[in-house]
Amino acid sequence: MTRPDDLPDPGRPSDDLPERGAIDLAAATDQLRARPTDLPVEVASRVLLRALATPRPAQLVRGFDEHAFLRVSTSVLTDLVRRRLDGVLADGAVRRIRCTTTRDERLEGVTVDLVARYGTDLRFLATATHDLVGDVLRETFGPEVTDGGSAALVHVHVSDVTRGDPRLVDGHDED
Amino acid sequence: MSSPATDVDVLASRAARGDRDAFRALVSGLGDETWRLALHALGGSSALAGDALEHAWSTAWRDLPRRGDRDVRLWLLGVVARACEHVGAEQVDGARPDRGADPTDLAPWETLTLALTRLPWAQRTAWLLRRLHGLSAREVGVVLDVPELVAQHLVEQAHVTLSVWSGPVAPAT
Repeated sequence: MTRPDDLPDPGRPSDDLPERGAIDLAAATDQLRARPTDLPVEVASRVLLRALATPRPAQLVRGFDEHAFLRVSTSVLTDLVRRRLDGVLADGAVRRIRCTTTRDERLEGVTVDLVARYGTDLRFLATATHDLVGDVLRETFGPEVTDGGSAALVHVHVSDVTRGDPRLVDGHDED
Repeated sequence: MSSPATDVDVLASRAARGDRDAFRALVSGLGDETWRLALHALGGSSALAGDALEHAWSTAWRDLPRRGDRDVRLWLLGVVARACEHVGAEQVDGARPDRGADPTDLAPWETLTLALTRLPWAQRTAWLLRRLHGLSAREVGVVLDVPELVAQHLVEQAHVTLSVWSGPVAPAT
């Protein structure tokens, strides 16, 4: 059986190919490689517009009382929470946000997994995170959302520490 | 203790978790390479390449949370390759490079672009990834979801065919 190492380099023409054809192909390949192929700005704009409008599988969360007609996707809620935390936390970074809902589309809980910078006061970081998430929930759904107490609704897990900037840690490396 | 990841890895992970700015940065970082693959795979047609990229990056946004630990760049090139096949399967035959060249007076790169459209999809994509994008045979296999040996055969077959075709190519009818 032929092993990969036994095969000729596809970048180097074999001896039994027409020499002229191989030379022409090499020249054409160089030309094609050298041609400018930057993504046009208008295409990039269209790509982003369409891609970011593509829904991801998500659950819906129902608003309260006079806002009961409101349904907010958990992906939107996750984005709001992430933006708020990214803008404020200096010694911690969000690794993952999980939203859980009840059968009747009520928000059951928001769990934030954090990566903390080594040496950070974790109680301070967790409290700040907890308060910020509570703010986002109240701004989104109204004050009723935390009527039962935000402690039961918002959970903060510090799942790792890093010596460098916690925002530069790839979550997938750690799972 | 965690180790630093590459920018693209970090951006993809953040985008997977819903960070739209990270996704924009990812498009900015890998957009040129995905555009180059789509353009060359679709006969140099900007219109088809644009359609393919819209489809591909939409798929990427939707599926990033399910990417797992696969290499971001190779995973995205695979998404683009499949989108190109989807978009161009019936339309690319007879596609011309955008500058509207006289078929009797094609530059070598235009002849090559035209010749590429005559190759089967897998050979075309494998050859482009190997020769224009500089991927190894193993990486080509990852992108096309085939074993390394199969990827290497695809590149070789394409190379032989293109060498034969590298003279003037008649326009498709």
